[in-house]
Amino acid sequence: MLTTPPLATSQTIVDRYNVTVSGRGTQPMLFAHGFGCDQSMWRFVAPAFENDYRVICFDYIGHGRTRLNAYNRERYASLHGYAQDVLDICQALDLHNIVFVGHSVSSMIGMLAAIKEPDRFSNLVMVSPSPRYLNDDGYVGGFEREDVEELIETMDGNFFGWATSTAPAIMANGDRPELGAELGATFCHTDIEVALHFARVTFLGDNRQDLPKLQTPSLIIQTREDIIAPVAVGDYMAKHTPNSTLHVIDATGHCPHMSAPQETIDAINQYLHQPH
Amino acid sequence: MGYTADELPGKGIDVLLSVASRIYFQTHIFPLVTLHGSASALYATIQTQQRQPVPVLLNAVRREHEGQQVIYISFIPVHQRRLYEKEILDAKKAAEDALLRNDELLTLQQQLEQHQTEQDRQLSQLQQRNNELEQFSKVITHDLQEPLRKINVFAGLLANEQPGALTSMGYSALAGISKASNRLRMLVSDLQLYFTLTSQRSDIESVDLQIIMQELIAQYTTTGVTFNLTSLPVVMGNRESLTSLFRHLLDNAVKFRKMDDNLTVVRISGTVVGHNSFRTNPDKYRYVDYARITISDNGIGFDNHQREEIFRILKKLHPHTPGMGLGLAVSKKIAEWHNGQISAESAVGKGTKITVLLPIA
Repeated sequence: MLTTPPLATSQTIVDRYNVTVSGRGTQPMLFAHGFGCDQSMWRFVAPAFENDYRVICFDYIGHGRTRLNAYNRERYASLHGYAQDVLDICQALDLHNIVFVGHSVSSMIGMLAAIKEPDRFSNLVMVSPSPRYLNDDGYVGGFEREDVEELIETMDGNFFGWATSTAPAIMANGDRPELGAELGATFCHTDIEVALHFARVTFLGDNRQDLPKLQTPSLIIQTREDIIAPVAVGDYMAKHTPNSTLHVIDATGHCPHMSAPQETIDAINQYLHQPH
Repeated sequence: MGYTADELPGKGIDVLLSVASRIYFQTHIFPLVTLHGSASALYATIQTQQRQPVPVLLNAVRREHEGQQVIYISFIPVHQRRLYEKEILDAKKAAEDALLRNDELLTLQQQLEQHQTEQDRQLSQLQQRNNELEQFSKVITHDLQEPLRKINVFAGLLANEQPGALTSMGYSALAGISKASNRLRMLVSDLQLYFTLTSQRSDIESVDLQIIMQELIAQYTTTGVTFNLTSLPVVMGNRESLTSLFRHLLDNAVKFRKMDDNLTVVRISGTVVGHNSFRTNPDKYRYVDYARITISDNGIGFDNHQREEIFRILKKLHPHTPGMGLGLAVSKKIAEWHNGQISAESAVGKGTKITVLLPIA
């Protein structure tokens, strides 16, 4: 007999991806963090939608508080593996009519998920997306392969640094409640091997040919100055993605949901309330 | 750094960083400092005005200054130290790689042995099953057909008797025998088709689904039914069986249409998606391109709870419609033989959507 993969129960998925659910609405709004951090990066934006939506956040394996034993190098050798994470969560929580909000590479991950199961998604919000980070034959992504190699070296070099500044204080502390605050204060914890692999998959990938396949209406949030996803890349995204709306907001940097949360919230609200 | 005093104020931090460190700053340092309030002893590379790289160690802290969040960063150049640490890191990496490779090799070896045993077992089982199927096929083609043929012959003899040889009850029983044996003959021949469907060796070629679909649409277009086709991809597969797969799907869409005044619309569209080509091994992943074809209609539909059982052999949801209940079972068999998948979604009174996944190469 051939063996069939065991069906993951809903609780297994919730634990595996450290899924957190809040909010008083019924329509799901699913937030996916980008490369380099975890779901805590949505803490300035997600609460603004709790009145009207069922707000769902999660961590990819190797990020935040997820357990590393669910990491599979083969699965995550492609953004499709990450897109499967999103779809697995949607299935486990029986989500439909989803507003998906993804930062950076998670915009592409959400896009792949929505191409694969278009019926689940109502809208995609892509914060600082780029379909291709490397320059390529007339296309300006902003980076060369050497830059990515140097980034990986920098990340590797900071392994010691991370160990002291961001490692989560995981310990039994029932008798020392003050440590609970410390536990809550660890952010952006990332496993180094996972992060290095994710960096390669993200920065060496090319999703330009997927853009025309996206049928789900999407909002592209672009800042005025973003060295990782420059305005020209936002224009390229908008030009090649059907049913997309480009909104350049008054903010700079790659993380407007952290540097300009109100502008980001306003842009999302304005988009969701306009007739499609 | 080679800058003059008035060159930098008003510029973003990026200007001081190497390209890679800009990415690192935006993806790691900025989120960390924003959420945590500070970051310490992180490596980065800054560049002088003449674009000379300087390895540095940095500390960063977030403070509120006149109502604004400001990030203060201090840099310490660490040329020598960076070199030494790099050596340590390289050595550590080499050792880890060697260890990892060794571990990986051992795991792979174990997996391979397990797979070999498992495969051997599966192969014997498949061979056994194949023998059984061959026997079954023989039973069907000969042993079952022969008595059936005889029943027909004898029924024919009776029908050709002198008029009035049988009572009226006798004639209606005879008609019943004839009808039932015809049905049985169709059933036997359909079953035979189903079981031999994929055991013959089939030719694999590049098949343009668009062309297949256009031909089928021409056959199935009838009054009150419109087909709406958008471009479909080319896949590698067996032309004949893929044609049969889609024929069954179009046949169903037409057969189970609403018999009212509304126009029946069958929408057929295709796209290319990335899909894991491993189907049974839970930990193996290889994402390759699959054609995803959807065929949706606005027909009578069925209860979505039955979305899986409709693919079972001889499963008929509508007992009074023509056919033996083999169409979707055959479609599923063909899709899976191509290392693909088929699934259905439906709502009573609204229509049905069938999704077929087929590997492109």
